[in-house]
Amino acid sequence: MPSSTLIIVVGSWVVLAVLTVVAYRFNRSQRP
Amino acid sequence: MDPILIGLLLYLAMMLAVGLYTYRYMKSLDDFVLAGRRLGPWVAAISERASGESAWFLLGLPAAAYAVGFVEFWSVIGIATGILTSWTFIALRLRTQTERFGALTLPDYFEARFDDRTRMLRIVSMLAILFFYLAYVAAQLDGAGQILNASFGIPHWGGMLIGATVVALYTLMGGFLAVAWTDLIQGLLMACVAVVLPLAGIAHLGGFGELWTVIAAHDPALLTMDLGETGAAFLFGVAFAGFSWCFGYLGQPHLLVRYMAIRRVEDVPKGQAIAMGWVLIAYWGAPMIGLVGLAVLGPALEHPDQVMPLLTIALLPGWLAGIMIAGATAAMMSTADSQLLVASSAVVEDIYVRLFRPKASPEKLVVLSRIVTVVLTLCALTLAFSLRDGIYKSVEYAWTGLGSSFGPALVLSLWWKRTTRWGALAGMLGGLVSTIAWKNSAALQSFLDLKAGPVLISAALVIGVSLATSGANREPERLGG
Repeated sequence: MPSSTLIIVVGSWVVLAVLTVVAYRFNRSQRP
Repeated sequence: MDPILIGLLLYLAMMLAVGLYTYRYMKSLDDFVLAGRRLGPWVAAISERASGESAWFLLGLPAAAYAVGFVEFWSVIGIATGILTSWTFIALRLRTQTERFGALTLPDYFEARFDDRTRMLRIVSMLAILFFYLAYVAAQLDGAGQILNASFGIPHWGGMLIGATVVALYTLMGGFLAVAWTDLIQGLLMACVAVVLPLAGIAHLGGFGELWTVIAAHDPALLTMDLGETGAAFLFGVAFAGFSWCFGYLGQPHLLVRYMAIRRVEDVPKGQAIAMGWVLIAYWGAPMIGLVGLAVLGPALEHPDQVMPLLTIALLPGWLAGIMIAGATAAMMSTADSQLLVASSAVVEDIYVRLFRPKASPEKLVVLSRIVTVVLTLCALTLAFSLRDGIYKSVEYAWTGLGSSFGPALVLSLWWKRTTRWGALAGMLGGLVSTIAWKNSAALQSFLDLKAGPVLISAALVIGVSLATSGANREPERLGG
């Protein structure tokens, strides 16, 4: 398998996991 | 008796039992369409995931990956981004605003938010919901036909008929509460299928190395994410075309209603974490089912939409195959039921109650909702018999239509105080009309992907018309919280 495919697939999962944590904190800060 | 059939029948019986159990809680229209706003974060989040992932998830997406390979991961990345964006920027504000306005449906919200006494927003919303949901539900019934045909040799039309009957039955009995609770079971089952089936296939082939070797022997380009394209052709024709699935996520009424039904605003961040956990655990598996299917079953399937049930039967023992096939049925049913419910509430709550009979009794409205659900199921079934596009393309069309009709108007109405009634109306109409135009024009599709063009036009219209009308037609300030 080309390394570019592996980097994009695994990398996107890591980025999404980090963004999930950031978004969770953002939503908690938005509570009325 | 066929063990696969036993597994499937047990599963269907369980869904009907949930419908029967929740029947007693249906006392008002509020119960029927919104479960009285009493969903906890787990039920709301997994129900949102199960409804969000239709037959597209376990049939359409694997079929696409079976045909084009790893490039389908761009769609997966786009969808995951859409889910995250929607939970982050819509869920909490929509939950707060709809409770404040006493809105049960998305058209209710738009009308209250813009104090629209002309009823135009409500009518255009209802038209978009009915038009695109009939196509969407029809694609799910097509999925039921494909699953039952591949698994038991039942004729495709017979499978569609069985699927329509079961979904309509438990939706009729239990309304939103039944749908939300069956979704919880279905969502967990779908995640199991998406994880277990590719892993079973990889073990069967002897590991990842073997999988890549077999796929490369068919066509090495299937392992790349650029299909051999470079520059703008790669950026717009490949990566962005897949990623643009994310835009539609912002305007799907059957998912937005889950946010509205969450019990407490404080539960929204937890729901978001649960939904994204589901995505990170399960979503990689759907395209992998297609790739493993290519390696195990070969490249010559007559109906690629059947790759998932055929792979299941090829790899797993009968009882487990029954559970997996029930999972695929779940993907179809959990979406079709939610969409039928939203479409019937568009007719009963948004049109009948609001425009004609504001004082109709709660019992009468529940009965009417059930009648409308049956009529809509029959319409979708009729449409399903004439579908020629396959599940992936049919869902893409309906997804885009709903996303561009509602997404930009909704997000801007929640976050931009200068959004006006005329801006929202122009965006909805623009999204609806441009989706139909894009779908029927090869020239427009070659210019920009179907999933991106209409939503951008809709967003431009909401902003442009709002700016043009904000001075002349001042809206009352109704955006708070």
